[in-house]
Amino acid sequence: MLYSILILNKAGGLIYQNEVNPGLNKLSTNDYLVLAGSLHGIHAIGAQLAPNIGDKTVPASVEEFNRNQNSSIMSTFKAQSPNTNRSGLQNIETSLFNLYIFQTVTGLKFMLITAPNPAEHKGELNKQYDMAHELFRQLYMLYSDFVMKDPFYSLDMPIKNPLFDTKVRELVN
Amino acid sequence: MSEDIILPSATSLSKLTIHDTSKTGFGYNPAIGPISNSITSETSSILINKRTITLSSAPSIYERNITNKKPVEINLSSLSFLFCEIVNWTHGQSRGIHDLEMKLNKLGYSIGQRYLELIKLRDGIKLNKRDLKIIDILHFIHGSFWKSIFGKHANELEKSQDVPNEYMIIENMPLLAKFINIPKDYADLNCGAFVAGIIEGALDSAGFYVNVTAHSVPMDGFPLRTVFLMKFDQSCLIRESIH
Amino acid sequence: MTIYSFFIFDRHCNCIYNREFTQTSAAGVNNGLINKNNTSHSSKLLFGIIYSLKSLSAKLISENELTSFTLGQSFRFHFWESVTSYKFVVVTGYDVDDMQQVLVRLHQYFVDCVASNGLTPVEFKWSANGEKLDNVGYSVICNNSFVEETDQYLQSLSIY
Repeated sequence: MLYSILILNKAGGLIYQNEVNPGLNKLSTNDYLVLAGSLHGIHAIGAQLAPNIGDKTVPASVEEFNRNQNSSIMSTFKAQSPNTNRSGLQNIETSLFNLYIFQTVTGLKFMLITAPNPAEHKGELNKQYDMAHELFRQLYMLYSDFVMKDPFYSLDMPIKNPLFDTKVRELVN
Repeated sequence: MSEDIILPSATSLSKLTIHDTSKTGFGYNPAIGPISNSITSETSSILINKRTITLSSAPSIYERNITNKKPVEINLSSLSFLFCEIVNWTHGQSRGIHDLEMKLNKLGYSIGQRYLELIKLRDGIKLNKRDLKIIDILHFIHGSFWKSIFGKHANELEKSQDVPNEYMIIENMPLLAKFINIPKDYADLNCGAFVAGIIEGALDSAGFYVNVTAHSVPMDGFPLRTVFLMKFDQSCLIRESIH
Repeated sequence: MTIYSFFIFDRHCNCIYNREFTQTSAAGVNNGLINKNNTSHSSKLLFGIIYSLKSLSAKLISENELTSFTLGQSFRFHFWESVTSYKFVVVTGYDVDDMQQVLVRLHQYFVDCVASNGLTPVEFKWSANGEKLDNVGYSVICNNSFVEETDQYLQSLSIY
């Protein structure tokens, strides 16, 4: 079950928040802004930490990865995964909720807060990731359609768009 | 490990700082912003020297026959982005809702004039006849004219019962307004003013002097339903009565 | 499926035990590092992340406990905290699911070999009268039986 959807702009400001199902504590708008800011910061710290943990045989550097991705786009003309969240915080699991983070190439972050996995589904990690990723893909599509193509929306500002709200609600129900 | 300042927006993409430029010359650096994607002498030389492959074997738009009757399809996303920018630009230039609608109408007007010419040419010389009656030209606008622009006929064509010179074309799913959200303080605005301009331009150059406005009349299931109200000039009605 | 490292933090935000496993050499004694990175930048960053995520979890839903988080496509951090605020963290590969039982078991070893051991301190940074000890030797667990037992346990796991 999905609790909440958050969208952060590239500076870590909260631009969209939709409480889909009740379950989380009632937080004030200000609290949500603080929450978004801290997650943005933790995400960045995580990206600093990741290459220094464990054995040092970390996969290709980010620059190299980008170069490979670029050349593969140039040669195949096929779209790559839109998720650029490679070394930052990816998901959080707690006893009462799960949180997933998706980052676009422009630094925009989508976050999902869901109920924790039911006990019988323990061990199906990849399935959960795939499900979250699919939802992110759909959300990103809605964002590109109904937010980016709206002439009255200014970039990085809060999204107050009933049309987008409706589409998001249709998506999650 | 170096104790760099952590740039939250950039680190997870790459360890980018303000002073970094991409090695390949491509790629967005959020720490810098749009400038990172701009064309410099370095990137332009990369672009020029890059071997490119033509993706489609179809001839370009310039090589195609202008009288080609096959519908030419374009991407809705590109069209929406273009229209979004048109509205945005016009919005910045105008002094109010009415002014904005007028400006959109004007932009559509010249398209309508030209498009009528083109579509009549494509209909072919033999079948081509000039519509003289209001009702005939309206059927043409509602039918084949609409179809060649939007790929479908308009939903309804109605005549006002109270006012003799008023006609309405009703479109349930306006294509251009699909992604547009009108903010609360612009409640009366309808970006269909652009389409109204197209209709007006076409009718005017066909010799029917008319004033077209767009109005949102939402219905269950069709929140974007738009009515294009056409008020014909008195002279058209007089001409109509002579025939 | 790999275990990369194992950390214990005490309630004074210090890393009191750090074990890094090297996957290349054959399983045996002392492959990898023990207590080499306790004051390193990365262990501080790790503590910072855990601390923030913990408070964040409790803010979103009260009486909630952080269990794990993932960095990128490579690392998963499993977390468990004892009532005495000792924080146990095991870093594994991306695809390792729930490890709460393992962490509880590690705490068991901690109680057996450190807390119940009269010859080992349980407070690693502060003396009884509240003064900060400069003697670095006290700031980490260097109890051989603890090291051996936890090593043996972690290496016996199928995910190692």
